[in-house]
Amino acid sequence: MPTKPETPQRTDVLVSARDLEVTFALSGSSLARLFGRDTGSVRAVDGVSFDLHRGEVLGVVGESGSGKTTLGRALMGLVRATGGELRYDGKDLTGLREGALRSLRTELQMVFQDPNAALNPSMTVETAVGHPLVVHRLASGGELKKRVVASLERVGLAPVERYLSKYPSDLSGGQKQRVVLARSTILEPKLLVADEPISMLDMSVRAKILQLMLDLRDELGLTYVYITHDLASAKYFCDRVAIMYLGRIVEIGPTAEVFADPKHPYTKALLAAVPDPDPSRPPAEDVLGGEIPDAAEPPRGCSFHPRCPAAFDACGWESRDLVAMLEEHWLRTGVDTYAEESERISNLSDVGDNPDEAHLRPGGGATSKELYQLVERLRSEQPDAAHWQSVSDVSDTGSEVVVRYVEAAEDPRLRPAGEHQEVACHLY
Amino acid sequence: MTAASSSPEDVASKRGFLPRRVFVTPFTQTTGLARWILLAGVVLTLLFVVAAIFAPWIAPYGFDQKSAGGVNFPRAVPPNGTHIFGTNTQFYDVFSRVVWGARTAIEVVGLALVFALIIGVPLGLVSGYLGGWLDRILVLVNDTLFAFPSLLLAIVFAFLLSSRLGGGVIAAAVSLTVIYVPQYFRVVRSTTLSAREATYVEAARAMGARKLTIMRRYLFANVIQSVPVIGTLNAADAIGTLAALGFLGLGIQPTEASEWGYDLRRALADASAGIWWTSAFPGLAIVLLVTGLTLVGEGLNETLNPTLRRRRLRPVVLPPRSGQDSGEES
Amino acid sequence: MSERSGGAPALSVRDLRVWYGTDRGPVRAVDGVSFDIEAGQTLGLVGESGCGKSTLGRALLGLLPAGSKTDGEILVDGTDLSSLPDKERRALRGSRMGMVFQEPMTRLNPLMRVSQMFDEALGANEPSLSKTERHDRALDVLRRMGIPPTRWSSYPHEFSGGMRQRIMIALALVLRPRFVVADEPTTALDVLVEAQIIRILADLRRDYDTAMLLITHNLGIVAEACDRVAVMYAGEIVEIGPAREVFGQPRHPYTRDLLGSTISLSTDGLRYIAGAPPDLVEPPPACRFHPRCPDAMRVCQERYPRWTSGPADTEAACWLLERDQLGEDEAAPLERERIADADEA
Repeated sequence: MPTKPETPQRTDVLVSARDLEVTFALSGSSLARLFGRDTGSVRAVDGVSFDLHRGEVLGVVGESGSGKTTLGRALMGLVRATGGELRYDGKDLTGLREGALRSLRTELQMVFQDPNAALNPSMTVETAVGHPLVVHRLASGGELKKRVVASLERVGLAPVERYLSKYPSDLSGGQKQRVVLARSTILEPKLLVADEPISMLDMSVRAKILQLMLDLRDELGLTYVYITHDLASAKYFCDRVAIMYLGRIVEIGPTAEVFADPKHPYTKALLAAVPDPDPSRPPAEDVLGGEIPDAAEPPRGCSFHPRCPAAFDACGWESRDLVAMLEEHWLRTGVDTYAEESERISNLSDVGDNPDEAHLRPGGGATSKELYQLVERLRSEQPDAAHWQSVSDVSDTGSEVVVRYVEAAEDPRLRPAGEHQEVACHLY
Repeated sequence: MTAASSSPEDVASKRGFLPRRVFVTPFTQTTGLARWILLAGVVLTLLFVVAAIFAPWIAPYGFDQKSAGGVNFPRAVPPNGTHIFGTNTQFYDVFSRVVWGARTAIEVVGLALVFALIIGVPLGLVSGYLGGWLDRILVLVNDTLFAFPSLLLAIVFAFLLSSRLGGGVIAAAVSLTVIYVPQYFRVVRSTTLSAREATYVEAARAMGARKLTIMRRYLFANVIQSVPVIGTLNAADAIGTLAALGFLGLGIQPTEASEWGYDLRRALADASAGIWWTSAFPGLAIVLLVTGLTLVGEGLNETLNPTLRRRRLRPVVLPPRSGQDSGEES
Repeated sequence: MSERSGGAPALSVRDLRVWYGTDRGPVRAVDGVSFDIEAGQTLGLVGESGCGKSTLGRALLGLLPAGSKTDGEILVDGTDLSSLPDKERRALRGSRMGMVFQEPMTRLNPLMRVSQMFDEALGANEPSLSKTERHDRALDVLRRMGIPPTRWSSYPHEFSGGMRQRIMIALALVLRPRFVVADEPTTALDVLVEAQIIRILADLRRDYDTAMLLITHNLGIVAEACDRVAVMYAGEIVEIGPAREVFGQPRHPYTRDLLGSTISLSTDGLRYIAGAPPDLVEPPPACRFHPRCPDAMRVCQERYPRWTSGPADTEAACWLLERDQLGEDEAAPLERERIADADEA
């Protein structure tokens, strides 16, 4: 590969993202589509900023629905960013069409989660690995073959003759992922976005592929974005990690610091949840409940507040949290209480659109006064719970009970905490 | 997936590239009925293909020959030694007409399929992969064509084309093509729509491949897998449509080639006069070829369609435990 | 293997073999496996893919595909399931034994409300229960699984993946079976949801008197949710014992290397087992692990290793544990070709 002349403004930062946003339109119901109604949208990546330095391995860690895969695809230009700014090597990529990005593809490559799906089932290993060279018209004939062989050897598929004419269906999962790595490194790119490269592999192969990726980094001077839900491999593999929740980075910093001293309650919960085969490790304490909410209707304020063990009144409590609180209460108290108390509320599934006020209507022959008493009793049972702390007022209008919430503080932005960490949490 | 290599599905699922899959695996991996259906279909179809290819040698006379060696054929004689299927009211030898008719049928249907594939597959691929307004227009046109009864469509086109292309094989093939293009378009478009989302297509985009390259190298081979099945089933349908056109006098003109549908029409009046052979043999030929092609299509469907496939399993005999294993039991 | 004193175990498997017929010959997916699970106890079954774990789990429930052959004994409370006719065995599925699958998305009927599913399961297996009894019992199980009663009559698509897996577990448990096979129940789930499910499974041991076989490739899950663990390699169990003991001091090289190749938060270097599990049509002779074993001796490819008991009720089959009984020649290191890097699963 011809070496490029060093540009004078070349800096240490290879990729920089500023308030990057990716919004998808929701397809909605078929009826809504038929009438061309607006069906809303999902902000899969919601204002993400970070710098990626040359030669660095940045881990993007999150659960499914956190937007980590979309972020990876946005970095690759496979989905177009709908807002913010994305710079690669100083060039602004935001909003570029796929055709305009084509020349950059020699420098940006991607490895996918499922090696079984990432290879064209009707292409041999030789054709597949060499195809990037063919596509960019960089080599043909003997030169092409030579480079394919070299690339396959680099990823450990030796003796090469055994693999050249194989189809993906003849290979094991680990071998397929090696072929994918050979294909994405044959152009000797600068940046490799690896989306869960080992999670679909058998556990005895994971360490091998991870080692291979480390070797490739040393050999080719790669910069990695490592997208994963597996904290253990991120801890070993990455120089820095970004923890994502519902489209945002909630914590970012050097791996050692984040793992030794996690700041964000979500990071803490994730770390506590990693199962560990070491029998001497004490069993995990309380496991965080709940799941990632629907990104189409993110919670108000800090989107983690409904699950957060450290949440307080300013975290963005809103009307629908009342329903969640009631569900939790019935889960604790049992079937009989549920049968008795849920009777008294007629509109559990719809407490009103205003996030500041929840409207409960009495049902099952109960009066609004009885309903009011029920709510007040629940409140008095847990007066210190963050949810009730954020309730400014419970009133009985005669026909319904209105629960009002204090005004939410703004969304937490990433702020420095600790030595090199940044955290998006009202606690810091 | 756990225990992957130990389940029979996975051991047998080492599938290969398309040609091997379509032509070899159907025979090696089928069981029972599916295998017999396929075999019977292939034998029947081959019979007609052989007749079509070797028609000049198999048929004793030409399709429009009324005399041999200066002697005129008798009119409407029943099957006998010289005319094994008899002769018809136009003095033609019925056996020769049937054999030459096979050639016409195979030629027309073959051409129609090739035309339909050449037009339908690329359109489906482009429409499915690119989407947008082009897709909408193509879908609209195809759905409109689809909405017409196929015979009506063929009649209209045969009528329109007869003035330009004459009443020959090409004109008939083109009229049939119009009917079958929407079918390939539809199937290829829908498989493209799902294949478009496959990771390997995204990988090709990430690689920097152009749209044309993606369609040609990544989608084509993977979306045409269902085409052989529809192809054979369409061929069966096309035989019937061609005969119907001939029956209506709109297909191939008698001066151009022998055609079963046309012969049936001429034989219509004979049946009441007790002349059964002029209609029975062309009719039988149509039924047999349609059946043969349908069987091939169904057989291919059962073997190529993984949801219908049942693989052959070998019986297992568990040997008595050897002494070596005894360490395992305590 | 281990004959425990006291009452009969809830599930007892003796010398189970499951072979599949293929064109190349029989696949020995499970080849002579024995173990016991006590009531209220969880046995973790670990090993690489392709070692017969799932096949073993399915064989216990009689859910094997056509073309397989089974022998050996599967004793549930003293009744040998493998000797029962298919029809009687089917009747026991659900009431005496249950299964939790990997993909909760595809295993629930999308057209049925959750309440209907429970009603049907209970109605079919315990017709003596009244409607309210059925309702109460189902609601109680769902509550223990953390599903709020407000969601009781929702459809499966209205639940998240974790919730669906909870429903699956609740469905398996509502009939109070003697044993449950859970096949990779958390593999498709996220870290936190996985931890929630593990916690639920761990708590089940206290709340229900069910024996459980938990099939997983994640050794961390075994350490957190299982009492005992069985390590399976190439259709055979090579080591079995209390999870703490086996993971704390693995005695079989396969167990040791499996633990070593697991990437955990305390990983400070990447280790792995060379090669891939063998083709089970023609498994290696004698000890099946010897081609990949870093400690293999000459005896390992000639004679079958015997079971030896270790501390705290652990058992393993490896010649290393009986080295003192071997001659010098037999104990000499085995010379083999190096396994190529890419020969892997």
